[in-house]
Amino acid sequence: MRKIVALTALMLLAGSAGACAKMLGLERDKEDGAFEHRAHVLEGINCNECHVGIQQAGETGPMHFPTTADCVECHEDPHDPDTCANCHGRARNRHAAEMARKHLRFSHATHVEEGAGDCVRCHVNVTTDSDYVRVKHPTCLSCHTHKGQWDTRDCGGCHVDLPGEMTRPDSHVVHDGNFLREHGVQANAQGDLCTSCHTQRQCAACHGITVPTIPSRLDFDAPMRDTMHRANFMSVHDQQAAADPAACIVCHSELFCVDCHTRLGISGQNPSRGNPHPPGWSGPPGSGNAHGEAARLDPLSCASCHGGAGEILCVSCHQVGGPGGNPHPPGFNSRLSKANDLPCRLCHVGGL
Amino acid sequence: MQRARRWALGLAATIALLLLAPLSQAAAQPHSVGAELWGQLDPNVGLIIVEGSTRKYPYVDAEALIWGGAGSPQYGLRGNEATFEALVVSVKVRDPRGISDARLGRFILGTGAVRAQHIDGGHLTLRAPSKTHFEVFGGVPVDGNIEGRKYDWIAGARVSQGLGKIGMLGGSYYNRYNAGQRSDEEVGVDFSLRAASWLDMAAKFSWEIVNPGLAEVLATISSQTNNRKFRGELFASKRNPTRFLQQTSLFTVLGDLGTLKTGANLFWRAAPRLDLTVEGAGQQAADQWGWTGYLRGVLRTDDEGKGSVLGELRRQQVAASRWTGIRLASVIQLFEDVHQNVGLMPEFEIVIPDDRNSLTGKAWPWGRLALRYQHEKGWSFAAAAEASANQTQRLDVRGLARVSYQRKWHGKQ
Repeated sequence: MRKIVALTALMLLAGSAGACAKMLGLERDKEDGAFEHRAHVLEGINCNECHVGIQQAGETGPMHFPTTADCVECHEDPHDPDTCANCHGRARNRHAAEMARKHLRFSHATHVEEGAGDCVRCHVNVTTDSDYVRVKHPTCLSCHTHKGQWDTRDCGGCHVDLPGEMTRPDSHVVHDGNFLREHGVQANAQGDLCTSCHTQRQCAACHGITVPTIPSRLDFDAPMRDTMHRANFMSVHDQQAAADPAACIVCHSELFCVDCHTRLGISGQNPSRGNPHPPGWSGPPGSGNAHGEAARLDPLSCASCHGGAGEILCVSCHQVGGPGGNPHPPGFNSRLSKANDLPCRLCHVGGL
Repeated sequence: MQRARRWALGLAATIALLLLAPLSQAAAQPHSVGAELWGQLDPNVGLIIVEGSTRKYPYVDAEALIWGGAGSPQYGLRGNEATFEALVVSVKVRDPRGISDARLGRFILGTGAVRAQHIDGGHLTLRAPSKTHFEVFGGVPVDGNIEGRKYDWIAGARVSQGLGKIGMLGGSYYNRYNAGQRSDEEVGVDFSLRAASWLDMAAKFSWEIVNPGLAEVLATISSQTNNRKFRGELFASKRNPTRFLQQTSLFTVLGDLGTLKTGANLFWRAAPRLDLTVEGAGQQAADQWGWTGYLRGVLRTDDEGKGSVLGELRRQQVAASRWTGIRLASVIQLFEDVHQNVGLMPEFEIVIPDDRNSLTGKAWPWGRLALRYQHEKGWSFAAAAEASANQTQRLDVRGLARVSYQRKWHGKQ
């Protein structure tokens, strides 16, 4: 009995491991249907024997896939009466090749010396078991002409419609790692490269100053995309602002907070909500005055409500001879002109 | 007067460059137009996006992004009040060889280490064969529809030099005025380098001149194995919020401690269809150190990643921000052939704050279910329903929808 239980458990374990291996992609289905390019290469069959006329192909025109008639010229006794391409070669890779024909300005005729047949130089994947034989970008850039096009961002020289291709440029423009953090640096250094694919829409979604167009809402059908204001950002936005206020002000005006809170009635300006500051926040000299330290630790929080016209509230106490005393920290130094520049003039009337 | 003459000469040279470039390059390029409508109920807001491009000579791209809202108190719209606002209305003209391009209108300008700007104006780029790029920009900064100081104008430039095939070094500057006074004046340096196939690094640094001090510095260095199974990254950033304020603000004279963040992350392709990412960082805010981090796993349900499942655990403990979050999301391909596909995207997140009380609630759940149809002819339809609870609302339900269409055609060869 124990042996039966142990055997059953072992079989279940093996079955689960097998299922897991398939799920994780560790074990591939043999019947996946990749075309056996490698076997043909090893047999010494020239590519032109099946892809007849490919060397003369220009930028447009038909694809040069072999037909069943081409196959049976060698495979005289086929094991199945169906069309060979139904099983040999993946439909999605054939579709990818058709898309490349549609989206790329590419002429085999100008790339191949007549009769040379040296296809593997670019289509390296034919030597593996894969039938995805599209040429990698670095292979193109190894040629002097295309290097020059890359330098001047002349993507249109080859790519008829780069955004329409919908291909992620993994091989030459890295979007790995925490790209949300890195995209600024990359866009700063090579913004013109970004605009080869991306339009202003992507920039405006975060950096538009006037109204919110949160990317996680615009692209609500792309949950895998990492964005700054993911999912239920509303519930943690106050905590995020406390943790890194500068991250907010990179895109939003400091008055963005009070603007929204006032409209929603979630602010000190709503009488029913009362004073947003705790007891002991401000008072005459000698009493509890927590606001000074808080303002030095996070002046942006103060500015978010009291910025603009609200600054006059500070100046009513913090002025020469006023009860608030000197608001500057020790060692304060500024190149602003007391007489002329606005923040100074609020207190230093006449440059005093 | 001499300066004006120099500007006029420069402009004339640019136009000449555009006009003299050869016509043959773009002969087979397509024209395209596209439109997208996006809308949300409660608050009632929407976007109209119109894009068009032509690849005849010269390349022209035009786009408009118009935001609209109606009856949404959040945006100050009571009753039946409605409003529209242009976020982007711009035209970009580029010569096919990439020697020069120019953008005019209302747009987001991101260039060099200085901060991104939303402006009504122009941006001109010239590229020399020596991989030296020159950029100039200017205009009027776009202001939010809120009380505050309005800007008068902005102008700036960037010069960058390509470092062989492996990198770029650039320097940038801008100057912004309001009420006749210098509001911001920032200078910055940006740098990116791919020293080897396994090593890349990038950094940017910006300095505020009016109220001298560091505005922002950000640096990353990362390394990956050649098979891209592992990728590790070290990063650090420092930002001083008051350097981002208009320097005519009284709050800039207080000085500030800024926020510093430094940490590392590691990506591991644990199996061909399974990616794991872990990140941890120390963060200083309001003179206190804290930490933040997350662990994320993505399992693709097919070799091409058309379907996938994501799980994420996140923790933040910085200053007053203390919470734990769990997020689950998935993309499920319900139907697919070579012409069209239908996908279902469920997403769920729960945030558990450390400070729990009856007023704010003990946990803030959020969920969304989206359905999308795409056709190769350029049509796409998507709709979603969303529900959440947060500090201020026990139950918040809303609907989202999007329709988009893009058409392409080729002109005469």
